[in-house]
Amino acid sequence: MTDQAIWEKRLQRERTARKEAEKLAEEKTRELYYANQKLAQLASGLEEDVARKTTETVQAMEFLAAVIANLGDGLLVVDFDDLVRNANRSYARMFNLLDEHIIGEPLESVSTEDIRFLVEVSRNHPHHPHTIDRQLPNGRYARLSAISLPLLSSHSQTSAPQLTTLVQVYDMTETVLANQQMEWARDQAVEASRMKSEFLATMSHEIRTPMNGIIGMSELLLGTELNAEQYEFTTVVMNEARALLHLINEILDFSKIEAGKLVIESIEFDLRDLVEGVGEMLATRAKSGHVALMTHLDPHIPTHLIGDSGRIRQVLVNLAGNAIKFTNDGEVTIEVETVSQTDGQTRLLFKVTDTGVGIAPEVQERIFLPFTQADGSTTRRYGGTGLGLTIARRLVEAMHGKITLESALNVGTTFYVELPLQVPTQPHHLTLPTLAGKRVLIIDDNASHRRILSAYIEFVGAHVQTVPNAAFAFMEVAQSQPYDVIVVDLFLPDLDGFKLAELLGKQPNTVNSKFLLLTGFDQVGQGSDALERGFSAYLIKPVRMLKLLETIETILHPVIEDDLNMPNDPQLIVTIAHPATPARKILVVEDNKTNQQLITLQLKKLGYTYDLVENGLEALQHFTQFSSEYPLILMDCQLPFMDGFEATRRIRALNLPTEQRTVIVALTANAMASDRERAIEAGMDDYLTKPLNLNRLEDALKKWFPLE
Amino acid sequence: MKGIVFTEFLEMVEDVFSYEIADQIIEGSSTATDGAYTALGNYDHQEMLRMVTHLSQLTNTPAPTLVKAFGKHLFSRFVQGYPKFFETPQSAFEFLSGIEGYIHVEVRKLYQDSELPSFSYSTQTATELRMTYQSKRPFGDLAEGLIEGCLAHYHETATIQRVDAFDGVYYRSEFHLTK
Repeated sequence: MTDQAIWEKRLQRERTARKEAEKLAEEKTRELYYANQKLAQLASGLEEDVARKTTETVQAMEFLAAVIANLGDGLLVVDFDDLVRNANRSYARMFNLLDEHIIGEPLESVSTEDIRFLVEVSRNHPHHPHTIDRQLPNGRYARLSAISLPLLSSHSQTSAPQLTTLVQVYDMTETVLANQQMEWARDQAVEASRMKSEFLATMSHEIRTPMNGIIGMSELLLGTELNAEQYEFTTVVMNEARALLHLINEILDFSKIEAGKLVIESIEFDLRDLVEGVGEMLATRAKSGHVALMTHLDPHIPTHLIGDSGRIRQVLVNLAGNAIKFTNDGEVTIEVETVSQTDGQTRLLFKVTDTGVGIAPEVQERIFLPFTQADGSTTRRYGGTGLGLTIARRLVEAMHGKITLESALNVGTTFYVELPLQVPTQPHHLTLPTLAGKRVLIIDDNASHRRILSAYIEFVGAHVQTVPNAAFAFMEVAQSQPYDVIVVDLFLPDLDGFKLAELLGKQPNTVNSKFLLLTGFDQVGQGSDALERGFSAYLIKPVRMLKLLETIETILHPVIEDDLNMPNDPQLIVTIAHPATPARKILVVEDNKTNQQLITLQLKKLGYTYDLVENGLEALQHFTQFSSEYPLILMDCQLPFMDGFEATRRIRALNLPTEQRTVIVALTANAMASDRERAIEAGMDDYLTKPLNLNRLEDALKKWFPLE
Repeated sequence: MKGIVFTEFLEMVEDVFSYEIADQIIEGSSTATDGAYTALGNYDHQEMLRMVTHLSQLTNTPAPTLVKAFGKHLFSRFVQGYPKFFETPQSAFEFLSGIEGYIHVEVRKLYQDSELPSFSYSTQTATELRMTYQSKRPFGDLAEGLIEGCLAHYHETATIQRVDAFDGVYYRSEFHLTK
């Protein structure tokens, strides 16, 4: 092949390759063109997407901005560098700012010191809201709250989240004003309550003064020569006046408890004396011959306990008084037993049981509510305010006890009062006589009475047998070993006590037996008869345990038999006057004419001499001159010119020698506890509230002039 | 097979041997376009195998030696033609590791019809690289030449151990490079 042919061939090859390359290049160009077109389409779609998304975002932000701007609560958003990122209209209004001058400003120029403090604190403890309440510059009350969160800042140099603080300001003005109004209303109510208490105290005083006159004068009138009709009328006046006074006392007591002014004392007292004393006192109220009133204390109960004896007495008198009132026939018992005993404390159960009309189940639920009685007719039939049980329950609860009841209609009612009481660290031991080996027969138709008496007597070691009537008594005496003591109730169903004792006394088995008569309080006159008719002694029911045991011991070992002739309970024989030593002279300070008359008559009756002055100033002058003559002053508290408190202070300020110290007893119609404190503070020794009856005055004076 | 392999091969034959040798191997091998290759086109790889076999006979040089030498040359041509691919990799191993994941991805964008071999990698440390060539066509030698070209471009040396295998469909060559 020639050179030319070779080169032509090579040229041909290159030409073919070039054409092929051009064809491919054109194809590529076309491909690129279409690719470009497609790209342009995609780009425009993307642009549309971006535009649409942008619009949506802007709308969402505008919506959010509108919500924030129109929030009732103020909102401030602060970036980490103390520049304000956002704030709303409410915020601007609350801080008297123009809202266009907030965003982008430094925090310091658009906030109060409180807000800056809050922002700083919240930054130190991110994620936790911090709150303070303040009054704003515009006078409104607000709660400021701030929380710091790590968020992307709008103008941070780095992409790391920085602490952004949201400050919210809630307008609390309405709430604060409402609270202020409530406080004002509360203050008004407290003030009104105080006024009410003051009014009650005044009323108490104002009512007691004339009551004092009525009761005292009636009492004195009953001691004069009266015909039967006059005596009856006067008795009615006195009893009604007492009922009225009782009513007033209950209402005052209730008011005091309702006002939260009840104070419970912790003072050592003799429980046995208290309970048996209540029994004796109420026995006079029990319907003669129809209702037997008995008290029974478990002999194991410590005699001396610590508590509020006055309040316990009040509860017992109330419950037992009710029991007597609602029992027409049968018995009322006041019993005390131990529920549990630990070192220093004992829980006692007081049971007041009657055989009266009973309380219907539906009434039992609300019987402790104020002004509740068994039914509407109760008040008409039995009287009373319906406050007694309410007061009793409040008192028991105040002493940390509880009160419950069981009752069946026409069968009877038992009230249970469980009370915790302290036992003194140095207990008093009751010294009881021992009757070991002695045989005692009890003849009494009342089963409860038999049970109580035998429990007491067996406790000191005697052998006791009981029988319910005379017939059994004869059988028992005839069949058994001789009895040392035979206790006879005056009223027996088949034979009276005198006759029974007379007949038994003729039995050979009773040659050495001693007879003891039990009588009711209204049969006191029978007592002296008893001693003439073969009885060694007599006791008035309800019988005190110690009295019973001591009497039995005495008649078994008669030393001074004459002592037993004395009436057992001076408390029950109220009208007997005791002659007092004439040298005991009393200075009476009283301004009210009626009261002057009353107290002087009472003192005369009790055998005391007295001098009378009319006000504190006179008392001071008179006493300064004749101090040695008066061992005791009865001082009214409310007096003209100088009141009793001041007079007492001045008298005490005289600093007389100790042996000449004069006893000063306050005498006031005001029953409020605060007066008692005032009297003691002023230097008085004792305190008596009017109306004073003869008994209370006598007791009070006896305390300071012991019989010689 | 891409046209650039053919055009580069023939240019190398022309430069290393002569236009005459190039004419002879074109004449002596049956080719669809009578030896008129363009870099943009795609051609049957059998044509390349035939031309290599022919050149081996004419020059009395083993075909693998020729293909390896061509591979090394082709790499330097790639460096000249596509400098962008060599800007980032700082070493031969780095470049080789990126063939499958980077270079082949880019090639496919431009030439959707290209049939490229695949590379897989097992050990890759600073001093050791195991990479496996896999293709339906028997060009393990070309791959070895290209690897040598790459080492030469980065002025690096490494021993290359190679194990070949054929499973009836795929040719595989595992290269173990150690420094």
